[in-house]
Amino acid sequence: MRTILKQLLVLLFFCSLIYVIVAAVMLALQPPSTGHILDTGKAGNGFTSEPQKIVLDRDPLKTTKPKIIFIGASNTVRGFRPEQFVSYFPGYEIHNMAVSASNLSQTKRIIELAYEVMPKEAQGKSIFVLGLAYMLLMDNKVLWHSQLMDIENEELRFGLYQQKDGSIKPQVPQKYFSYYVKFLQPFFYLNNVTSSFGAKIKYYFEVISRVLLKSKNPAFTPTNDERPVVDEVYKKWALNKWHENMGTEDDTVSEDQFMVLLDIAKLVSEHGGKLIIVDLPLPAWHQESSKHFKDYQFKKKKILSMASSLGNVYYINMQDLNNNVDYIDSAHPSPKATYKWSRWLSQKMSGIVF
Amino acid sequence: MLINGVFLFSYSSCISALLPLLVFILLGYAFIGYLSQRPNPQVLAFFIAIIIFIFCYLKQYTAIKFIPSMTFVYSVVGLSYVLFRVLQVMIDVYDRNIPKKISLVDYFNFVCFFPCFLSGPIQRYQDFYLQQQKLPSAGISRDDVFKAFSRIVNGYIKVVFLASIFENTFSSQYLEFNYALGKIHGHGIGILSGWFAFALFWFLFKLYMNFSGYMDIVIGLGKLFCFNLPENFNQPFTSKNFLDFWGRWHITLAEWFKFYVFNPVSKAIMYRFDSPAAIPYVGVAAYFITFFIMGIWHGTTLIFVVYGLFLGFGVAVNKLYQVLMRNYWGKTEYGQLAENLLYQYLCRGAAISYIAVALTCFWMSMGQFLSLFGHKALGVLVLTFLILTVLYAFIALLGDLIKKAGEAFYRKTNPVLGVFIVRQFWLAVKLFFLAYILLNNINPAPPFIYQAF
Repeated sequence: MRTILKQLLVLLFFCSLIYVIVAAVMLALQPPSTGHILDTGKAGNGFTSEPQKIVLDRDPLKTTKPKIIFIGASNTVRGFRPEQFVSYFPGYEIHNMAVSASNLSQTKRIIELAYEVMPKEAQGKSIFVLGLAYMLLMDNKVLWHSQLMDIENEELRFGLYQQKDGSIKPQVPQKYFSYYVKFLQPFFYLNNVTSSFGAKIKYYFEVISRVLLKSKNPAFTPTNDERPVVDEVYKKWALNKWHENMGTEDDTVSEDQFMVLLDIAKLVSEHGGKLIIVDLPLPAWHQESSKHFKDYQFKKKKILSMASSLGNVYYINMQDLNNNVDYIDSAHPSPKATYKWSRWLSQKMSGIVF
Repeated sequence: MLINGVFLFSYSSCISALLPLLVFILLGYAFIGYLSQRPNPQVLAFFIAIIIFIFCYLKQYTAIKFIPSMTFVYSVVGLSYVLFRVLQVMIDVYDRNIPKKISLVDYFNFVCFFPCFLSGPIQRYQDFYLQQQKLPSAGISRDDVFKAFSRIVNGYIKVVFLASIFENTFSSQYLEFNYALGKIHGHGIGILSGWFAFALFWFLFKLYMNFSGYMDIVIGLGKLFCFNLPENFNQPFTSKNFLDFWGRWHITLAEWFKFYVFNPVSKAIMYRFDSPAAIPYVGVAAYFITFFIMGIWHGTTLIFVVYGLFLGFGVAVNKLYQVLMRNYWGKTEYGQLAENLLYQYLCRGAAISYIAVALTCFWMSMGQFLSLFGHKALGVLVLTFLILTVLYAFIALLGDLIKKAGEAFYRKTNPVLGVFIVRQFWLAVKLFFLAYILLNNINPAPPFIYQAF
């Protein structure tokens, strides 16, 4: 027994030594994010993904200052850059907690995670700005295949949260959460290194398999996301991609997700905050040819009026900013256009914020 | 006994769920008691039949599903391996290979020995008893503790990390295979065989990592409790042929079947055909019967009959090939052929390829298997076997080259790598990596596949 205990102690010593070495390498090569703003657009700085950034890097939300928090999907991540809004809203902290490829269910969970760390006095003074487009109305079954959402997957890593009775509960008390996250930083660093390495290996392996066996599986269609020119071929491909992604035969949007929008409005109202729903623009060609967009336009009226009746919910229609040249693809604004977006939105929001 | 008891009870929510298993074990003990007093071949055969029948009933074998099952939920975890231990003691008591009377405590400790309870390795009672007797005076050296820890950590890495990687790769290849199966008319058997071969390729590695990793944990744990458990794997991917493979993969199972099925079956056949010319062919028949039974033991459904046929056919053909080659080509010429490098690697490839194809039965239902047959399956199976043979032959060659380089590296660096600090540091690196994997993983570790058998 004594020999076994001795061996355990030796192992503990060497493991601590390795921990210190990894932490030192991490600090030298990739210091963890120390910003005062939670911005998923900068998730690459120390975190593997946008959901991981949200779960692990929520310290900036712990101040009592009033906050403007952008939420939504990738067009909100890219379109509403916090640094561009700072000068329009003095006295407010600007955060971006939008996550690419989200739907409204995931967005709701992100708001809950924000409230989990925000002090009570900040909750009532804070404004959530939801960038809404039809892509956010993707059904849970289609997007998550009835499994966990991306954000939930991140919560369950590293023993931070645990799934109990159908919901996810924190395992580490809030006051120790930051310390625990700091302790785990070397593991996150390893996670970054292994994830990027693993992704490369998987990519090359799949390419080789596909070339060798001439796969016709549509799941393996090469990505067309980075096409530099939005031409007719691209437009056709993109519309087809949205048809596949949204997962409905008749190109309708999920009514269930519209109901989640109401839940989000209620959640924010209950915490005394404000919710601004920004109806995001898409390039004109996309708006004109998308059946999803038409269905969304039709269905949104009823839900938006129900949400507005809650009191603290506001609606801003931004859909007219649909000039094709302002977009790099079927949904995302060019870096130059984001300045136009932030200027325009700030003017519209100022009446609500102040 | 306390640890074994606690371990056993940890696998059920209430005592009633363990009752059938406990009754099975106690019945075995009663039979052993009877056989030690009155050894009789007919009685032994009758007791073995009863034990096997109860085993099949408790495991709900498809063939006896017509008998009404028990109305409450009960645990059969570890039952397949308990069966081997009970039968071994019964036969050895009858044969007077266990001279001393077995006490109930010793019997319980042997049958329910916690490291081996779920899925082996299958230890013989004589070996277990000797080690148990030496326990009070047994000590464990510092080096043994280090080796045990290393073994456990390596095992966990195999199960939690490597088996998971192969599982994920297998799943994606399996999806492609199913997709190709759905589009068979568009793709032809070439593409289908390609995806099938890829899926089988990864499944075999997954199974190996899962099973051998678990064995590493068990053997390491046994060592910490001062028990030297028998090895279950010995570099199976270096097997020269299919018969050699079974001397390297699940060794204790193959050994058990050699002792308690192959030997008596061979004797029985020899008794009937006592011509010297028939002797080599007796082995062929005995091998077929032994491995057919071993295949069926793996599961309760009809697909495992197919698995048994695969195994039986494989070893029988392998043995027959050896006999015929020696008879008709001559011992020297056959020996020369066996020295040929290309022949050696192709034989190694064929052995692993064959078991990979046979293992289809582990992840395909009978319905899927038959639907595969509906699609020109013989062609698919043969082509898949050939693709895998070449692939594994190439990997065997590559593996040998890497091994040679590794050995040369080890010889040069041994004075450094063998140093206490370096060894401990390397073990800690692996442990740290394991902690990272476990912390980062949201899914539970992959289930141990052989636990289900």
